[in-house]
Order: sequence, then structure tokens, then C-alpha cells
Amino acid sequence: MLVGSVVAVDHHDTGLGHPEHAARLVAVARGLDEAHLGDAIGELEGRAATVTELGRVHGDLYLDALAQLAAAGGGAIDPDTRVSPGSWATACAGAGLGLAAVDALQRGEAEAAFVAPRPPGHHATATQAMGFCLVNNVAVAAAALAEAGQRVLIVDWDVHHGNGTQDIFWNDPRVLYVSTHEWPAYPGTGRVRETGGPGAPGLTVNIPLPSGATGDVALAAIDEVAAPVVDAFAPDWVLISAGFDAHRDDPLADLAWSAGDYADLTRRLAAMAPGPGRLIAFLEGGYDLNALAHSAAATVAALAGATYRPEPATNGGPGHDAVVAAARVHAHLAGGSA
Amino acid sequence: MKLDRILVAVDGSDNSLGAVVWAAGLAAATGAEVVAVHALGLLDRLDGGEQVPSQPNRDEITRRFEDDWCAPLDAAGVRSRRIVRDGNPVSVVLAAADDEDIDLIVLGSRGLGGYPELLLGSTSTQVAQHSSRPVTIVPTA
Repeated sequence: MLVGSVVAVDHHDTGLGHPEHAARLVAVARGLDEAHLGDAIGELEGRAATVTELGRVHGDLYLDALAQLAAAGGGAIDPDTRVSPGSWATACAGAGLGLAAVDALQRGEAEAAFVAPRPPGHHATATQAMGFCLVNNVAVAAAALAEAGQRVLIVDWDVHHGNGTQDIFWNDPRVLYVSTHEWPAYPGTGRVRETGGPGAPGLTVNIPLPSGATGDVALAAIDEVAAPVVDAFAPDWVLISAGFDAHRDDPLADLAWSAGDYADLTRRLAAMAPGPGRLIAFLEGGYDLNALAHSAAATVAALAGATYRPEPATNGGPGHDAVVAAARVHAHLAGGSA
Repeated sequence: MKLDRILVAVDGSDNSLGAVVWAAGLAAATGAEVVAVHALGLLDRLDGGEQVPSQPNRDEITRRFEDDWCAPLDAAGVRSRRIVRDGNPVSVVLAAADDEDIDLIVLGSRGLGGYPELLLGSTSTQVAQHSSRPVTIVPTA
């Protein structure tokens, strides 16, 4: 499999004390080294996304403003989200990683890919930077695939709801968006009843989980809520918004997953791809550096078909009732449209 | 003209304190109720200084918002409610204004960040741009 990162060209500086900082990508690289995956992983050669490619999901005025803000020296867009002089180039390189991964997999170069952009992307809407995010990396890749006639499943297991990705594809029948996330939490979206627009009914699947939910609950969410919808949708590609902030050690949130859980989740989602070369994971959040290193490595190993479990899977936490409630809503929607 | 409910956006900064005081004064003069709203982002500031993660500090942030940052409302003796919502300040203020059927939105002129000349406006300019309701922006004292 292929791994790509912007670590060598990372000039997105969020300032002292900000949890989304450059050492995150260094930690991911360290985690992969420690996993000793050897020849199972190769390096993905990246490229910068063009404004046209970003423009499939973002407004031109928004992209101009972002580029100009970086060129003018940067600053804070909101209390969470910052731009530095190098942010625009780094964000373009980050979004380009996903596009490069799509190209490489289409050429048959690997069975799967993992890409590590900065900053994360899933909170960025068509016209709004927020929640540390500037451009929506997974959405840029999904939009490119959808434009090429492909049906795309995005599974977002970041601890925060991917409001930007949901907004962008809310009414788009070519993209199925599935999210597990802590509730209540930032950004306040992702209720079970948010199920897609009139053009894509049932193609947004939200499974909000309570504080303390463990990995077994996440697996149940995928098996009991997502799997039937995914089967009916029959995706050509599986993209994962792989934040690692649902890990129990993460300082920004309160779910209780471990690196072993990410390995299990990855295997479940890999099985949803229609065949080899149709699976890409995108780094989103994850702010405890050791948890990030272990979890990203466990995910990459699982994508490569290898076993690396620096921590065992977790179970016994709350949240099964939330899974049952979400399953009921989506079973009803599927029944209603049959 | 109806002025039953005034929304004031509160983030704990000196700037938002000015907006709270101004809203309290208007409410005292008109008998309106004040709905104070705090947007819980990914990060927050407990002491006006270093940012801390919001989620593990929800209870403490909520307590400070309700007791400290909104104190001028109680001091003025006006009817008021406090609402904490997850999200970025612009979306939270606009959504709360709709849900609470607010007659006037009051914000401080400048919180963190914002570049109006680049269309990445501050919270106050973005709210003023997108709101269908009257907005008052209170300048820093």
C-alpha cells in the first residue's frame, strides 16, 4: 500500500500551544517506523491540488480569500482556526495527496493508500473555514471521483462530526456519508435525524455516541447501521476520514477507543470496497501524539493487510442504545423507499 | 416595533463584556429579555489567556459563562437566559437567533480574528452580513 504525507513541505503554523501542530505528522511517521511494516508500504508521491480541483467543493471567492490571507501574513479566522504564510501551499499539497492517491490506485500501483495532510479538512464547508480546517481534503477527492462517474462512500470516524463533508454532499446522490462522533460535542451537527437532502435521502448516516463509548460500540455502529445502507448503495470507492481523536488518551474529546479498535474498524471498512485499489484513508484529527502514532500505524497496517496492534481493542462502554436508535431510523428510511 | 428578546453573544473577552453591559442597559430600559449565547468551539479561554480544549472543560466553561461572563445581566436586574451551543460563533449565533425568535442581536465589535477585506470577516461582520434580523455591534470601550 501507499503512504503519503505533507510532513516534508508542512509550513502550516498554528502558533504556540495550538493542539493541531506540525509534530502530529512527525508522530504519524514515527508510529509507522515503530510498526516495522517494511516492504508492505511504499511512498506516495504527492502533488498540489489546483484551484480548479479545490473548486469542485469550495467557492472561488473563499479560495481567493484563503490564499490572500496567507499571502498577507495570515491570522485567526475564528478562535480555533488559524492561517500562517505557508498555510495555503500546505493545504493545497494536502488536498493534492488524496488526488495523487486516487491516480496511483487507478493505475494499479497499490491496493490501498493512507494520506496525511495538514490541517485536517472535514469541518471546512464550501465557503467556511472552521474547526482547524481550511480545505476539505476528503471531499476534494470524493468530488473528483464523483465527477468521473464513481459512487463514493465516505466513512468519518473522527470524534467530531464532519459538518463540512456532510454539507458538501448533503444533496448529492453520488456520495454516501457515514459518521460516528461524540455527542454532544463540537460542531453541534450530526444528529441521527440528519439523513440527507431531497436529492440524496438516506445518504447521510449519523451515529452520535455518548462520552465513554468504546470500540465495540463503533464496530456495532458500522455493522448494524452503516452496513445495510452501504450494501444498498454499492460504492465504487471507500474513503475514510480517519481522525484519531476518539482514542481514550485524546485531550480534545471523551470517547474511549484504542489503536486496536482502529485496526478492527479499518478491516470492516476495507471489506466494503468492491475490490483492491479502491480504498483511501485521510488523516483528520488526533491530538495526543502517542495515541496518534499508534492508531495511525494500526490503521495503515490493517490497510496493508498486516496485523499491528500496539493496544488491544476496547469494549464495555456506553452507546449501544444510540446505535440501535440510529439503526431504527435508517431501517425505516430504507423500508420507506423500497 | 417589537423588542421582546435581545440575543447577546458572549465569549468571556473584555470586548464581549462591553456588549453584555450594553444589552443589559437596553433591556433595563425596554423590559426586553436577554438571551446570552456562548459558542463552544474546539478550544476556549477560561481566563482570557491560553486556549484550553473545550470538551473536557465544558462544565467549567459553562459555569464561568453563566456566573461570571453574564454577571452584568443580573446586576442590571433584567430577565435573562443563558444558552451554550457547540459550533463556531457565527453559525451558533445565527441559529440561536432563529430558534429563539430574537428581535435584536448584540455583539462586540471585535473578538479573535477576522479579515473583512478578505471576505473572512470577524464574527460580528459575518453575523451582520448573514442575519435576517437587526444587529447592533458595540465598539470596544
